Order: sequence, then C-alpha cells, then structure tokens
Amino acid sequence: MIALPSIAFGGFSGSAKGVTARFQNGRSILSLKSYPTGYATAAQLVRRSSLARISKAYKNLTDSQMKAWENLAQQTHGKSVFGQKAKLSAHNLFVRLNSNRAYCGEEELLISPPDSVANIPVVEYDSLTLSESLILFTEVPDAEGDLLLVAKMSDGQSKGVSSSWNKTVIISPDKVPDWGDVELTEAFVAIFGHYPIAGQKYFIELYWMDPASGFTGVPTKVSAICEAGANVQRRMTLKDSDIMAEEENYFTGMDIEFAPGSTIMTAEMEYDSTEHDSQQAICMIPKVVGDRIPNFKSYILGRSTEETGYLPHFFLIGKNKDRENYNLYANKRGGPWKKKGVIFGTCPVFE
Amino acid sequence: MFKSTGNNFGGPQITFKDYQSEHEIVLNAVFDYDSTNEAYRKARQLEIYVPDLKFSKSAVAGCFFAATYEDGDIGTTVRTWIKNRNTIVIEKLTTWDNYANHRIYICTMYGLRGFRNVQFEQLKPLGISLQQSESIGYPSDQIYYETKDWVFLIFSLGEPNWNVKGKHCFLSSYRDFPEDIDAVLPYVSGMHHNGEPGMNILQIQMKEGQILIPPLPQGMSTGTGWDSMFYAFIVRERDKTSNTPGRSRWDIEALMAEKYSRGSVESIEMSGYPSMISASIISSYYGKGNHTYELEEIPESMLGCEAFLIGSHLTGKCMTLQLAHIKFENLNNKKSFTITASAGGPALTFRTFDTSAAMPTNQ
Repeated sequence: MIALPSIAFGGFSGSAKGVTARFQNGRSILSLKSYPTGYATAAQLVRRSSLARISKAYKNLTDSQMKAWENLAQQTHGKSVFGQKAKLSAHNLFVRLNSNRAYCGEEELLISPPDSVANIPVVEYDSLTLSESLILFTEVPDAEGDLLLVAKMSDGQSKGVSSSWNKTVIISPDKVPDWGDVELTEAFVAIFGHYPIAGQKYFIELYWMDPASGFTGVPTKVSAICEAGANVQRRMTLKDSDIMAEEENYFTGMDIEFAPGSTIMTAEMEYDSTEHDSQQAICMIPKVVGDRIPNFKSYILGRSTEETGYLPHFFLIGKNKDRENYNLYANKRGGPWKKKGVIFGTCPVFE
Repeated sequence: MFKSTGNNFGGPQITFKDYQSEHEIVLNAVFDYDSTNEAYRKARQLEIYVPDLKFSKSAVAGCFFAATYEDGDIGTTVRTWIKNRNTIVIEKLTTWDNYANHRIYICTMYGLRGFRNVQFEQLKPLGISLQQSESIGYPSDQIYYETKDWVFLIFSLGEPNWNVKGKHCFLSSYRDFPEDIDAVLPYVSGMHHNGEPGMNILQIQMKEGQILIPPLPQGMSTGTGWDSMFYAFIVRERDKTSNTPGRSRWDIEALMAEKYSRGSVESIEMSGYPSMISASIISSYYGKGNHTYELEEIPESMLGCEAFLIGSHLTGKCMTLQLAHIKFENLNNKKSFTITASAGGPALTFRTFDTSAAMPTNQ
C-alpha cells in the first residue's frame, strides 16, 4: 500500500515505508515511524531488542498475573519510581521492570511482580574529577543489597549549554563501586570513541538499579566542564597494567593495594612461572610506578592450582631495584613448588 | 570475644577471639562442620553471621581448611573476607567433600582498600630463634611481630624429620612469646598422602609462651622440598585491668577522628578518691581544636569526669606548652571521650604524659 500525502481520505489506514496512516475520532492522521536518535549503547540495544518480546509477553499473562501487576502499578501512583513521579499502567510497569532487568543480563522475564515497590537509594559521592584522561567519582558508598550502578553520560557539549540531559546514554549499566571509586573513563571511551575534551561540558546521571526487580532509584545528576590536567591522588595499587609487558612476567590478574595503619598490603593474583627456573614468580614494573611505593617485604598466603592438588604455601612478596626499573617477586615458602597457583591475602608490610 | 549468630552451612555456633580497630581486624576461631549436610551442599560459599564488626567489608584474606582423613587431616589455604558488618565469608572448595568432617582455622588479619594519601609505614620484625624439643626440621623464614593486641608469627621448618614420628614437640623462642595467648592453630606439617590433594594440617596449640606440635601422622609421607610452614595472626587475651589495685585503666590502640587523622591513647588510669587521672596521649589531628570520640570500651568509673593536662605541641620549631582538656561522658547511652586544645597550639597535635586531678561532672 502506498500512503498518499493527503488527509482527504477518511477511514484510510495502514503502514508503508515508515509512514503510518490511521483514522481516529473522525480524523485521518499520518505519522512517521520514529527511530532512535543519537548513540545507542550495547545496553540500550539489548533493551530495545527486548522491548517487543517483553511487551508481547504481557499479553500472555494469566488474568491473576495481570491483576497482580495492576495492584503493583497502583502502588506506584504518586511515588517517584524510576526517578520520576508518573502514573504507570500495569503493562508499562511490566515492560519497564523487565527491560531494566534485560540491561544487566537477566534474560528470564519477571512474570509475577515484586511484592512491593522497592525503595532504591540515591547515589552519593564525594567528588567528581573530569579531565581528558579521567572520569572518576570518589567515595561512593556501597548500596545495601546487590544493587548495580547505572551511569548515563552525554558527549561533550558547548560550555554555555544549560541542559543536555536528553542526550545522555547509558555508558555503563552494571557498575559496582571499587572501594568508593566509580571510574567511567573506559566506559565513556568505549561508547563515544574518544576521551573527554577539555573545555566541553558533560552531563552525567548515576542511579542504582536492583537487578532482581528492575526498580531504579532517583538519578543523581551532575554536569561538569572537562578540566585540562585535573587529577586525583591515586590509590597505592599495583595492577596488571603496571607490569612491563615486554619484560619477564609470570603474574596475571595482579591486584595489590596498600592501606594505612601500619601499612597493610592486600593482594590477589595468579602466577604461572612455567618458563622460570626458581621457586618464585616475578615481573618488572617501570621506575615511574615503582617509585610510588617504597621497597617492602610482606607475607601472603597462596596455593597451587586444583590440577596440582591445592598445595598450601605462603609467599614472601617484595620489590627490588632492577637496573633502571624494579622487579616485584613472590618467593614460595612451605610445601612442594608447583609452577601455577594463586596468591591471596592480607598482611602488614615489613622492612 | 564474640559468638556467631548463625551460618549457612549447618555449622555450630562459633566463638571468635577478636581484635578490631579502624584499619585491621584480627580474628581467631576453629570450628568443624559436616560436609554431608544439606545446608553445606546448597551453599555457594560459607557464610558466618556475626554481631556488628567494625568493618562494613574487607579485602580478601586467607585462612586454612582441613578435612579429616584416615591418616590425619589434609587441606589447604582458602580465601576469606568480610562481606558486610554481619557476615564473614569463607571460600568453599569441594575437592574434599568425600570426607565428612571439615575444619576451618581462622587466624587471619582482615584489611581495607580504597585509601588515598597513604603514608608508608613498614614494621620491623622482632628477632626470634626457634628452639625445638625434638628436631623436626631446620627452621627458616622466622618472622615475628608483636603488638599489645595481636602477634604475627610465620616460620618454615624444612622437610619433616622421620625420627620424630610419634613424638610431641615443643617450640619456644629465646624471645619469649607472650603468655596471654591460648590458641588452637594450624600447622602445615610438610607431609602428604600419595594421590590425595592438599597437605597434612596438624592442629597445634600456642599456650604459655610455647607451641605444642603433636606427633606427625604415621601414615603419611614426606618429599624433597616439602617444607612445613606456620602462618598465623594470633589475638592476645590481654588483661586490660590495671596492675595497681584501686585504679581503673583504659588503653586503646588508636582513635580515628577522620579517615587519616588519629589520636592515640597509650593509657589513662584513674585512682579512687581523691580522684587523680594519669594519662599518656598522643594526638595528631590537625583539623580541629576539639573532637569527641564515641567509644565502647571506657571503664564505667571514668564516665562523668574531666581533667586538665599539661603537654607539648607537636608542630613548630620550638617546644610549645599545651594545655589539654579531656572529658568522659555518657549521654543517651553513648559513651564518649572529648579532647580539647585549651591553650598552646590551636589544633589537636600534641603529646601529654601527665597526672592531674579528675573532677566529677554531671554525666
């Protein structure tokens, strides 16, 4: 069917090539099919592709299930649900909750509604650093339960723009704060393909989502101008990214951090020193990284892999100057040496 | 000391000896459970429910697992962490589920992450030299550190000596171990059973300054390089009462005012009547001239009193006399200790070792 560009044809209805005609209340209405605008993140694509399936599933609910959804929808009246006060139909509520769940990989549909409207807290934070190389919220308290943090962000806007909230897209649907830090740099670059640009304004929304029920909290909204060179004092950590890739390295998943008190080291990493002759694992770290941390010794538990019988050890872990750079070593103590295993634990550092 | 309130693996009520501060928690506990019970089978990880801990979560730490085997216990190290203020988690390994009786040894320090501006402070180990009543292995890697509240001890004893099979062995140190420790701990003996995963884990006891190691298992073997090892953080059961009859004593390791600002009360003792107070306090809180710490451990007898103490300010190029005001209160069932820089430097950065009159207040 070809729809003619005229409203003279009363009763004329149908769709073709993105144009829909319908007859309503004595009037013919032509409308263009709407398409999503702007960026679509992976999470949003998942949700969009799920919408039809979810919407259709509602029609297959039993009467009692629909009634239960209607009862829950009644509870939402006058409350701020999904960050805004709105009257939701049972169908809308079913679609919203299930599509939110789809965001974080919950494929199974919530057929029976949650018992009640969940009370989701607001995301709090202490500071935001927004520079060309870092987007970091600090001191974000963990939420009670198993809530996930959803981050929406716009691309850079002109400094004078006062509101671009409609241009925010989900850049990270399932973040969990890392001891208070929520870093969005990688997520931003993955979506927009570039780092923030100094002098441009960015709009960010953060909210908690309960992946079990699909309920979300009221978004915390912040806009900020990207500041050249802005940075925060970094945590005293050693990660895989700190290891010199081109040098000898037997560690993977390195996650070491030092905390104050009498300095306490916490560590978790794997080793595979198949190519190494000594009863140790070792890696090189560049001078710029090694200079941040004084030489130390600490003693951390570990064990060999399941394949080699989970043999228990403790490791002397330390750092030494090695030519222009440093090496980080884990020397095995106790039990027979197997070349693959894990190191994990907490211990003060010693001279 | 506290007792668990429940668990998700059908285990017993567990008694913990504990030391809890702002930056570290040290826990000791030993308990058995039956791996054939339904709750254990269903559990993804072992969760122990406990009264409020000081941490709302911790980084990963390590503890020991052992299964009762016909020739002695065998096991390994497992992860443990504080999931929330009321839950301690232990990694579940199913490798030994064909043995019914499982045992967990928690002799563990739990720590935190997420700090910036960390000042690196290395501890200096205290020298020890282990003496053995029977030579069960050549000692190496002897690291010992001691605080008022806990000790850390590790050592390795080389490949076990067959001559001592069937004999008890006592370990002691020329530097006496504290006598306020009575703990059951794991010792990885360096022995194994062919074909079985893990290594022999002996249950040993540290008591009265000595370590008692029971006989090595008869039915197990050694192998070249199968060194034994011991690794434990051990809570001291320090007597916190005053050495002097008639005095009450309060000593606490550190008081944290903010994330990085600490005061440290070495000790405060108060006599009966006439009330005198003797205090050793070091405070390095630059942010304010007064601060109130809410605490649990203040002796009842000190509540409702205040005192003025003379000390010296910690900053500046010359010694500054500092007058400090301390006050113990109990308001709305919240016990508190307030310290004020009354004269001298404006901030709470001073040290004082002083004895003064303790004056009663209304609270």
